[in-house]
Amino acid sequence: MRRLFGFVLAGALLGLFSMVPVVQGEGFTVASKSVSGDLPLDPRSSEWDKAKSVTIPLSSQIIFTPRAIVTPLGRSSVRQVDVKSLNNGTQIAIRLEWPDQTDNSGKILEDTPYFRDAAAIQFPATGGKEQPYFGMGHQGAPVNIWQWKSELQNDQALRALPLGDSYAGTSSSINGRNWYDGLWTPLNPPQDKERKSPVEDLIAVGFSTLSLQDSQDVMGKGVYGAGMWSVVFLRDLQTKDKEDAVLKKGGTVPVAFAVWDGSNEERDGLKSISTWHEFKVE
Amino acid sequence: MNGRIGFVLMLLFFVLLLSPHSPLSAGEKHAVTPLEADVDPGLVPEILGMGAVTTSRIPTPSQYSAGLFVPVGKVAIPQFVVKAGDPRTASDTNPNFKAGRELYNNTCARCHGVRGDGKGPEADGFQTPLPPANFMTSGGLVAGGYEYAYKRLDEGGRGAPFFSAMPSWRYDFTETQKWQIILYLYKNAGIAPQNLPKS
Repeated sequence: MRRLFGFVLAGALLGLFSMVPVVQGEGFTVASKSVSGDLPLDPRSSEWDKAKSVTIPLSSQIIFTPRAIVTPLGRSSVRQVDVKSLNNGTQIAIRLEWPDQTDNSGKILEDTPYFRDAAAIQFPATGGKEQPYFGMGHQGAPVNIWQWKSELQNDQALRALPLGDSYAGTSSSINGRNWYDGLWTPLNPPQDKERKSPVEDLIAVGFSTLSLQDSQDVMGKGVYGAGMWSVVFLRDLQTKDKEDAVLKKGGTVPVAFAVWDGSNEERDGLKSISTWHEFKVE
Repeated sequence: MNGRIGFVLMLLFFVLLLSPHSPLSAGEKHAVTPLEADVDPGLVPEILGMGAVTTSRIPTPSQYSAGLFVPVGKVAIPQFVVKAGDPRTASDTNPNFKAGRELYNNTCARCHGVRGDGKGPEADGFQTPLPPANFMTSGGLVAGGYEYAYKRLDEGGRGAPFFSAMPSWRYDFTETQKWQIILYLYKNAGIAPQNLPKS
């Protein structure tokens, strides 16, 4: 019996120490809490108290050029984003909150260059055969990106800028497509595509491939106050768009985040990013 | 006696539960992907379909540096690197190490840290799937040697099997600068290639 005892002890200790040497990257899990009733588009709704907040660390985008080291701060500004999510079986809402000392949302209709505050959520898009690279996917593995742009919280700006348009002075045309503010669009965007939301529903298969989806399926609202942005993204759990992220009750998908601080002249690839974490729809 | 065994098993269960490496202690955090092992650098992740992650064997750094994994061709190590000898004992006044230190501190240290411990100011957001390497304990740099270090620096880690945030610095540095960084990286971390090149 003593020998058995020794084997049990030795085996257990061996099992313990064999786990130690392996370096592992640890990610976070954002759980979308199941609730009943309508989901809040207002970031300050008390409904958000029902969801658990997860803090996701962010770093400067340094993988592709231009790297965020060229910004005035020499790095991206925002170092973390707090994430909450709710779903009611029909729709899903995700709220991002992050500190920002300045509100860079109000100059869209002025004829001067400026840089906006913005944020984005990224999921693998339907149709990929493997997990996309966290840096906006790769060929054969697209990502679906929901990007909120702060100036579009202004109703006047929302009406003045049909989909595909952005602020003046940043467009160019290459090979029959327009390059607006880091976004590829058709040369002549359909005029019937008025913006209905400050969130753009996008698809990408790598850096510099960001494109508008034909179907815009994400609503949103951002509120600034007390040195903090608070932004809600809201979408039907199931959509008919074959380029959208698949979000199902009980399912888990990779998720990544990005934040732009306009006061640090962040735009396009100059941003704070995360790598993949997990998103679970309860 | 059975009670004694039961007590020990219970004790070990709680030790496992509290271990930071134990899957039982994951809590809110979870291991997204098993990563490059310090002890066994051949153990890295393989991603199978969306979200499905498992661990498998992939070529070791020596196979990697031999061009078996990424057939880029043999890396030619310049003479000034060969002549530098063991980087651990190189003089601080060697101009190549001095130049490498400046380049390293302005770029690599952002993620890998000034000490090379993988804890630079940009490391926090890049912990998955592969955190910035801790050069001080990197089996890959020792076993794979200068060729492995060069390829990681030149090619970055965007592709398989790494899928990491490591940028490709191919067009950012001259060939001389890349080797100066590599020399300093080894010296700074207090490591040397397993097979030092000989002139």
